[in-house]
Amino acid sequence: MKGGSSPPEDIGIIAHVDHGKTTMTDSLLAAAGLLSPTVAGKALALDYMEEEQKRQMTIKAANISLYYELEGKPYIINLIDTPGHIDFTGKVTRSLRAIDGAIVVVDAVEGVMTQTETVTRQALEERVRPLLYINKIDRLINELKLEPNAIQETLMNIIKDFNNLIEIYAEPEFRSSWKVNPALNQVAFGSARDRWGLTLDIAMKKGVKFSDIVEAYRRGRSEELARDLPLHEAILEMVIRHIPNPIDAQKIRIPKIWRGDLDSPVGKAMLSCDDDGPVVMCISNITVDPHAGVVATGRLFSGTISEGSEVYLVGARRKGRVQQVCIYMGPRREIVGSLSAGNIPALLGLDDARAGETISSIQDVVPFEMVRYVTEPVITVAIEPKYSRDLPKLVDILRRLSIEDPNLVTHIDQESGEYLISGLGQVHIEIALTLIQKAGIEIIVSKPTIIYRETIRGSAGPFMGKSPNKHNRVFISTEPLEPEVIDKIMSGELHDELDRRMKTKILRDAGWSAEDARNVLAIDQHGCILVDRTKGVQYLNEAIDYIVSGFLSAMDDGPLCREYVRGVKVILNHAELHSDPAHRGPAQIIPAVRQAIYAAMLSANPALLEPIMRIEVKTPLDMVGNVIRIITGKRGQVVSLTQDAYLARIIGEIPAAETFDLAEVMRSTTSGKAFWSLSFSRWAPVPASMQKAIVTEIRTRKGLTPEPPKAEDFIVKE
Amino acid sequence: MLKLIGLGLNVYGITLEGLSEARSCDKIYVELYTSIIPNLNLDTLRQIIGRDITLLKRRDIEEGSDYIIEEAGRYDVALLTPGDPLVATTHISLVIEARRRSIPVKIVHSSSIISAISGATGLQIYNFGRVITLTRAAGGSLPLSVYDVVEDNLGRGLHTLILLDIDVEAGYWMSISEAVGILEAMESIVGKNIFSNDRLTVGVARIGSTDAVVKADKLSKIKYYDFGGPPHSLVIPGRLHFMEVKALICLADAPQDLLKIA
Ligand SMILES: Nc1nc2c(ncn2[C@@H]2O[C@H](COP(=O)(O)OP(=O)(O)OP(=O)(O)O)[C@@H](O)[C@H]2O)c(=O)[nH]1
Ligand SMILES: [Mg+2]
Repeated sequence: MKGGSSPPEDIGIIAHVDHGKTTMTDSLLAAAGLLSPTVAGKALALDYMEEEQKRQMTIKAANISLYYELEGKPYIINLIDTPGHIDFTGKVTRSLRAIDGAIVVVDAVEGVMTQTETVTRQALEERVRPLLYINKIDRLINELKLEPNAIQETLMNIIKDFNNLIEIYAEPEFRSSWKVNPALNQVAFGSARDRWGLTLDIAMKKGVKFSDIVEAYRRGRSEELARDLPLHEAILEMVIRHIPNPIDAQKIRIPKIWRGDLDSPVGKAMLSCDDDGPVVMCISNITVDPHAGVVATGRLFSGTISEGSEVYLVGARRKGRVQQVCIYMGPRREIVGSLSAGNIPALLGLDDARAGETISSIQDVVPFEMVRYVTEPVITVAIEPKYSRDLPKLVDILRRLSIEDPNLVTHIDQESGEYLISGLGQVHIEIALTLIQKAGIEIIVSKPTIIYRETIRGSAGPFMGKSPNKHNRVFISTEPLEPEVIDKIMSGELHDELDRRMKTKILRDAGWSAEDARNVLAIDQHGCILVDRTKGVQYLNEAIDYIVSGFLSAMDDGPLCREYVRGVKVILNHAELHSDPAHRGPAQIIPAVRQAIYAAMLSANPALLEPIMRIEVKTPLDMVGNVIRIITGKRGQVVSLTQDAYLARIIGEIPAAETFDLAEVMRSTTSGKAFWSLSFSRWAPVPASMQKAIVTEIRTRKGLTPEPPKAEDFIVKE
Repeated sequence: MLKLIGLGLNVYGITLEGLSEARSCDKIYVELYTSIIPNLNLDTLRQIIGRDITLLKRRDIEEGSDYIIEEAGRYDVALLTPGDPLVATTHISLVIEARRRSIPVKIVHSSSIISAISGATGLQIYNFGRVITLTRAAGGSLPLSVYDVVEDNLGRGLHTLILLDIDVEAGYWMSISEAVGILEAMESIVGKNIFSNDRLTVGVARIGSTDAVVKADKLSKIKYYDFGGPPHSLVIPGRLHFMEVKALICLADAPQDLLKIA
């Protein structure tokens, strides 16, 4: 709602898990009259899903519009509360597209943690300005019993750490201007639980010193703080002063998140957040309402969107009609009829919309940059309904879950008929399973398994692949792909839809020959590339689609144990094709290509890669030894160990395969005193001594012969 | 010994030689995926030959050919195929493999669309250029090599026989009207007036059967003509000899004005 003169502010709350984001938003809701002040600080009102309240953890991004009057002026703030758990980081990534500023909440005791770093970095990549709110000051006083001086020092250190993130991750032009300075009210301090907060200005205006706060706690008078220093005032002051409104923000953000021509009419409309411009919106979140269907929420960068608007879904190449325009008020949607640029509309009626989609009144508008995720699914469970009559319902909810959360991958194994769910971690999977059960479907769940990747360590080929009718031959070799190129594919920078010139440039920069760089036929999303080195092969253009299909299907089904293939450069050296299209169709070409790729890969020292997780542990000093023993006992290693007076912070790496009983072992070995989190770090070869056993286990699980095929099984002579 | 025996174009299209050769074999296979013979099924074939016959699918021959050839090394095996066994099929790979293993091969020919087309239309075999199959537009991209072949043949005044895609195992066969739709789509992309509305086109259906249909007309009209069941094919005539003109009028009911233009 861009009510009259004052445009909305679009902000998000981001942080490491449990640092108090949702508790803090309670205070903002209360001040807007949406929540009783007496329950604010413990209601966690934006954690409105039953599962969130039960786990005391946010698992989705929640949107709400807040209306305030400050010093007689009206303000509208569109706020998104995001989850902090690493398994849901994709939801933060997507939400950042919709907002212009972020409040980074940091627990005063824990300080800047891994996820603080991740989400701040991602905000900066979207040119979303991060501001700092240091929460849980009460813990410094009540738990750590710090004196005012020590409190101040702790806070200064956190600000220093935070500014260090800006120094490292901000683009040069924002590196100094976006650092936060408490003297300029760019940092707020407080306790969300106790609903008080301040900036330096407020402290000065009200004549409060840290010693007064410590005193208030010592006398058990913290509710006075909530009365005299309401948290929302500190936060709102910071937001209103330092987070740019959409008109200013879009000037900065559009050149970064949109590759189109800034001098074109659409470009200009977005740069100026023009209500009268063409509709251009980027979808950041999808929910599937059992009654209303797909609800597409995102940021409207230009134009006004109304009920009945005809729009294009640019990526899906579809047209759609907006049936309703709403705003989210926490769990509820309110119909508003129409919204203008700078807002975060929730649209009904666009069933084909997906997160990341560009929606516009212009058919061929350049789409927004893809959202880049920092992590990959590593754990899978197989499920089946207890009663087969529930199968349609199960298929339906799996589809819904994967639409709502693109990081949750659901897949039907054609051979075993199993339904597979892959996620970023155990919590991710557990919650998906709970949601399925909540929908009234009883399911049988397999033990979780790890996702592996297949790759090669050497080069081999060309090998011949022959079509089943023996009238077509392809000649293919394989080489390891440069790690740099794999990274570019995984980060989304290099992908299939990119135009050829960009692909060529990226690969040239990575050291590829001009020939190879120019002749990329396909890029597989798990990090493989197909290159055409043929010269003047007749009918090749009509067989290319089938060759690409053969390549993609082989990359989905590695030769060792049918896991995805990663890091392989597949080279088509030559092909000989039948002159009649009837005899060189997909049924002929796809198997020929697969055969040649398998022959080459199996001759190129094939290897299995396993996901390695990064583990971060915060523990009292007396448990450091135990924690280190757990890590090293699980084929892991300690990467760093730092400590202050009370806590040690240990960062290590553990193969995902060793993490299934980690929760139990950690709890029993440290008497529950260690706090830890796992996140995907990288792919690494499994130890040579274990490869054979793991391959056998995966193949047996998939119902394949225990012994993997050999190169000879795919090699044909003439 | 491996015997490849053609079944010709209709239920009774197998030759007398083919019949006796098949009957003398220890094992008889048939494949019915490379073409469609109207009204022919496994049961009628068993009755005609008087022996048990095993139906092979495409995979059985393409991926299981070793097995068949090995059998042929031990006793006499017949493989019955629609039409002429080595015309418009890829079975030559079986012949080569058998010969490589010193297994004798016998081929019993029968008629095929490739030769029957001349009789059906009166277009002389000497005047045909390359034959090509029009396949379904896979993944949205048109098989433009058909356009190139017809363009090339026309440039040399030659006729083109266009076979239409069938996928017996998937229950699919391409009709003339679907085919013309694809050709028109190609024309709209390439635009060299090869498949223009006025292009003289001959549609043929079920050649060799008693209810065969042969009709010549403009491309745009052929599309709406009712040709009945499969198989269908098309001919795009090139430069016409006067006898061919007479034949098209007589056999294919070609509109006279069209032939004057052509
Ligand atoms: N002592 C103290 N506890 C707090 C404060 N703020 C929040 N908490 C507690 O910290 C825990 C986590 O709070 P949440 O608001 O759910 O944290 P969050 O950042 O939203 O968590 P996720 O969304 O799951 O990442 C809860 O038990 C809160 O009561 C605070 O200022 N002081
Ligand atoms: Mg939360």
